[in-house]
Amino acid sequence: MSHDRTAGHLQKKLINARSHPGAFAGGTLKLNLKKAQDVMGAIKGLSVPWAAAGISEIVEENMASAARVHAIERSRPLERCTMIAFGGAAPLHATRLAERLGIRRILVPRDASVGSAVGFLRAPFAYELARSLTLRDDQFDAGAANRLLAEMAAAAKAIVAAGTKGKIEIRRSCEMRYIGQGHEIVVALPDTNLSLDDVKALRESYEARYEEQFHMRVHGVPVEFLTWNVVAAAASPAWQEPELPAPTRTAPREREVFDLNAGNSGRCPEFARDALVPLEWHPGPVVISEPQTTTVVPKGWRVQLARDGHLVLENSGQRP
Amino acid sequence: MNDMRQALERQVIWNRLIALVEEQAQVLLKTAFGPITREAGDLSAGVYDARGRMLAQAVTGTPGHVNTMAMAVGHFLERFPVASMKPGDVYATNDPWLGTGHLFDFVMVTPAFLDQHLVGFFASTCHVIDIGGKGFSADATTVYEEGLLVPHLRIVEAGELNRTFFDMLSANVREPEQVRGDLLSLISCNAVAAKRLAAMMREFRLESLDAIAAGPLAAPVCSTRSNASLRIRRSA
Repeated sequence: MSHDRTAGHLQKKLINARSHPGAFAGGTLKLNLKKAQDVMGAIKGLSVPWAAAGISEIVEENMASAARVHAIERSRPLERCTMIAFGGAAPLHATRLAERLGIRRILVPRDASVGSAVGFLRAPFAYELARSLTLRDDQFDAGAANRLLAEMAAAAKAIVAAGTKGKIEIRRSCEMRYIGQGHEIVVALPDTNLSLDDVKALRESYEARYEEQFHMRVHGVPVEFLTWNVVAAAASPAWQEPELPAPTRTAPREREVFDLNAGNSGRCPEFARDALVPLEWHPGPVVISEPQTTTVVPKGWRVQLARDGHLVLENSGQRP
Repeated sequence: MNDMRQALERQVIWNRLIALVEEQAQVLLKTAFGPITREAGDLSAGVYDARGRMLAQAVTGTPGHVNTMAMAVGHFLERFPVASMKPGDVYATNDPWLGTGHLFDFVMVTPAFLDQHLVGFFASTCHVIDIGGKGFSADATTVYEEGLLVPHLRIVEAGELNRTFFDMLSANVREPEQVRGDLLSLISCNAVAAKRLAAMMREFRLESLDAIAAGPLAAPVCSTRSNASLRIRRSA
């Protein structure tokens, strides 16, 4: 079943020319365009490209729904986020997903197809502690909170110190809610010992986040602090401009890509990722290909190779 | 080709409407104060067209309100004509005959606007922890002993909470913070969903939900038939 589903997913990418039949997974896996077309052709009432586009649309819509539910669960406003598209398939779907979520900026990192592995190897060594201490904003015990936070910072720091000789950074946050509710919003804490003025400011931050998400503040109800989080992390190495190989400046090829909004296939330039000159914008429609993935940039978007080798996609603000 | 795009777009919009009411229900779960709502999930959320006909209902929630809440918006429209509704208005009742079944269930109805035009409604329901009276409704022999009946009221007018209503309610229930909190969370979840609906309609350049409503309201008969035949074939 899951094999079939994956195969179907590949088929529709192939037909909409998002993936290249000969170059999939660096050319190690040959895709059969003819068989894919046969499968899509068997869907009644739709032409082959529309059947493929339809599958893609529904898949992307469902991914967007999942993202929205996750955002509510984590209490994060999606519209303000930059989407980081990693994994081999993400750059193919990223712009359509972003349009649905109101996200206007996408980053396709270097080595996007193995992003999780690269991230795991490069992430700074860190340890996170969470402890419960229930306090109300109208009866706050700053001493108890500060003692707990200091203890946690010392414990987390000791663990991280075993793995690094460098500087260790401490980040602190607290999960807060209106008394009586069952769901918390995480609010960042200042670096210094908490005072009663800080508590007022934290209530304000909490209520601002609450209002942003739920369009309301609940007046006359105390706010409670429940779970205290402390992260100790080895400092990330200072950002250095990586030495990128000189762009090959290979001229783009032409590629035919199905445009859902226009309802037909149109030609657009296809650049090899290593051909791009840093900081030059390319308006969509354009396709950026590399051995492990393909970044599809439709009309209404533009793309640039940033100085650090990541692709930056921006929405021009108008849906095509 | 245009037909294909329309069919495809309609399916996407339909999926979006279902996702939208699911988000509405999730917001209610996250913001509710009463444990019956936030832990037991005794709630419902749904979207309606401009005539008050239900289009979609969240999967999250309880089946107990399904049919009663589907009819509830129509009863509001009989008392408050659409022409009198303004952005920021919210209506409520716990009438057991015209709402969702007993005094503990509040129905909250929010008209949804797109550029000042009323395009539909969101309704949500939850079971509040107390509504006065005897407390345990099965002990009551008349509805008056069961507790406070709130007739169809506009409890928010152009964004302004009706304090008189909330003071009256708080004075008549045993857990005023939880009951008031739950009503506020019903208002919240409808507001979030109404904002999403307007964004969706802009995204798909819709001016009304009529064309979308025509689909699901006509489609169930044929989809029920095709599902039934599918089941027969499978079991054969």
